Amino acid sequence: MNVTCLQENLARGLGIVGRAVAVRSTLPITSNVLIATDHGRIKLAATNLDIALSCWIGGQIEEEGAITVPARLLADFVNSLPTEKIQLSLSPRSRQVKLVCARNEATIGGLDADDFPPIPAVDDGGTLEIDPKMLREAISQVVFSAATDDSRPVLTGIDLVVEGDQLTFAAADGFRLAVRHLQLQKKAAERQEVIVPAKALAELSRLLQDQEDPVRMTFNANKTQVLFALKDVELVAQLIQGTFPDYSRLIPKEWGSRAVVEVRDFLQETKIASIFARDGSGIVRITFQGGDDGTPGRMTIAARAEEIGDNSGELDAQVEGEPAKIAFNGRYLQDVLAVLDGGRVALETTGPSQPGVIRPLDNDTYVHVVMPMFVQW
Amino acid sequence: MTDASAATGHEASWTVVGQHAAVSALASAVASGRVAHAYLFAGPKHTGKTLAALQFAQALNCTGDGPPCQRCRQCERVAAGGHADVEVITVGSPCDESEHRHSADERDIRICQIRRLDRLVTRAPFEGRCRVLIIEPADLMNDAAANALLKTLEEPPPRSVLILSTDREELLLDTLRSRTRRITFTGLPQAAIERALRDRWDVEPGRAAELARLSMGRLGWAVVALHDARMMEEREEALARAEELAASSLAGRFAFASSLGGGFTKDRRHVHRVLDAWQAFWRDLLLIASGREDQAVHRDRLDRLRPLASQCTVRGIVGALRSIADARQQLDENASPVLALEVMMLALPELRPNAVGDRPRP
Repeated sequence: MNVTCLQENLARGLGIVGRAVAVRSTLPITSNVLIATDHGRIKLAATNLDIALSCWIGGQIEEEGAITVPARLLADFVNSLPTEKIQLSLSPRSRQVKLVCARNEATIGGLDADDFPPIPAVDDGGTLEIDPKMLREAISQVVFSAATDDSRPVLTGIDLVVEGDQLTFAAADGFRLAVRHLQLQKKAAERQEVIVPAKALAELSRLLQDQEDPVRMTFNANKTQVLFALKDVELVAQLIQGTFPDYSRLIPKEWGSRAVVEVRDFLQETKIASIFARDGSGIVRITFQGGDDGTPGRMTIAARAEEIGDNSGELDAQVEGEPAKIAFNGRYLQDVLAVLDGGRVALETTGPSQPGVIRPLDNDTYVHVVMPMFVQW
Repeated sequence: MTDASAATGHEASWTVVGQHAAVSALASAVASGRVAHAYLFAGPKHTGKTLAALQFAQALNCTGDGPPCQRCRQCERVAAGGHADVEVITVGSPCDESEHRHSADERDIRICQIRRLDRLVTRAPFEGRCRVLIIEPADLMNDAAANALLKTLEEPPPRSVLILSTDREELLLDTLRSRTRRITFTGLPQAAIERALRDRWDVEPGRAAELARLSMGRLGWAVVALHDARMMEEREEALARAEELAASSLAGRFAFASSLGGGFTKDRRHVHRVLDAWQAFWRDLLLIASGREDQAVHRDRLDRLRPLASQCTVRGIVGALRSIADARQQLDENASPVLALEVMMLALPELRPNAVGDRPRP
């Protein structure tokens, strides 16, 4: 192998695939990054066997070849080089990669590219095109609700359902549920459901930041992998095997009390209350009631720290139905309010021991359900 | 010996020696597609459980004809230990906790390692058709780990197979055993080991016979001994020591107990190997004393063993064997190594020094 590319391209590419390099694994080669020539470009790839990232960068290819080298070492070295051309070369049947850049020359010992776990090809289960901005927003609105402990593995994933022209994301951890619908450009041929690890989607979201072109999402036929193809970057994630709970039954169909508030104010008051709630299991208490004779209703958000102090904040609310009180974990409220992009939001409840529902007022593509905390009022 | 199970023909490419029932059950499970989600490989050490587990993993992922074909990419990668979907969970294997650093010196398989397994089984296989996770030795799972595994066994995820491998099946939870399909491995007849050593490892007949005798039915032990000269030396030393100790005073015995026991925390396997050799030594004395000299394994030492055996009662030898077995159990149960070995020494019969063998013959 003998290739030349720009330092900044190689550094950027290594930065991208570096996110998938294994930290701890029984296969030592997974802490390496694969460098290979591929149809006139240089392909970089890494995998921790949960996700695999591949990235293609431009370069001049003198001689084809492939090798894997320790990812950390290579990235640290390349990042420290001046922004000039880097020449990578590997003599035939050797595993020593030689790097030459400006007045630096380095040799790095690698492992055979043949031993690198083959990154699964995902091409046979139908492809969807998704707008990157919408995808990123949808991921951000559900990903925090996925479980972080492995006691129920399917809950560490995000449930993706393709049906008709809708793509639905759902995540739940037993205390909360987030569901987001996304409109597709084209109708899908058949209904499909898969569970993608939340961590994989969080990585995808990071990659989407500077993406303009539509993202192509492909499942393979036996539902073991999903591929997200971006411009010059591909992410393959291992799907979680199992059945996601039927969450549609968990979303209350009706409500007894409903308060509509500004998201920004609601979030701000929740943050303030959470300061006092830190020492009291994170409990924030919400009460709301309608106004008399045309005056606006009020929502109060309060918290108290035993033997330290308490706080109570108030905001305007449009209230329908009975006055209500309900307590939540302040952290959970902040999580959901922070990912709603301004505007107004409705909080619906049927009682202090029934789940609370949060819906943005301006669109019906998102719904969030939070279990209340049981408190002495 | 005729291969009784050859009729099904599925196991032609398996190279596990002598475990016909086990191989046949596994091979036909692969052939029929009726693979259980969890297996218990139970049988003595060094009888082919690990090899069978790896070949089962190969067969489940093989893309060639007559799995495991040993020629396709999948089979090769499993054999080389580089397959992304085949992992052995053992003492010291990694877990997902970033702050944990496991090492092979630990005593048990821990819950964090089982949690990693929990995560792995729910992921679709990466490069093959089936994920195979091997827990070995399964009896070293601590209580928390075993209970965590129980939960996984109750809701088996698709496209994955768990193999629990153990030589001390009775130490596993009943609830684990009842949720796995049992595959029994047995000790091999001496003749089968001798033949395998000659045919597959090209060992010359005399040495093959000797190793087969010493192996006590464990082909894997014979193969290791074949390649590890140090191990045989260590064994010779241990045998010489057993003879010497049988004739030495209590002070001499205690001195040795404290030197052997002192090294236990550093290298527990060495201590177990020494006790292995001692058990074989006393077993030979028992065989000679009860008139079955033909069954003794240390043929080259018969001249030295006979006069010792003549001083013993069968009862005394059985007592010695029992005390060695007790000491091993106490070592496993965390007793003070030196104390356990000293107690063992007390129970060994005291014999007269074996001068006969040393004196030059007239």
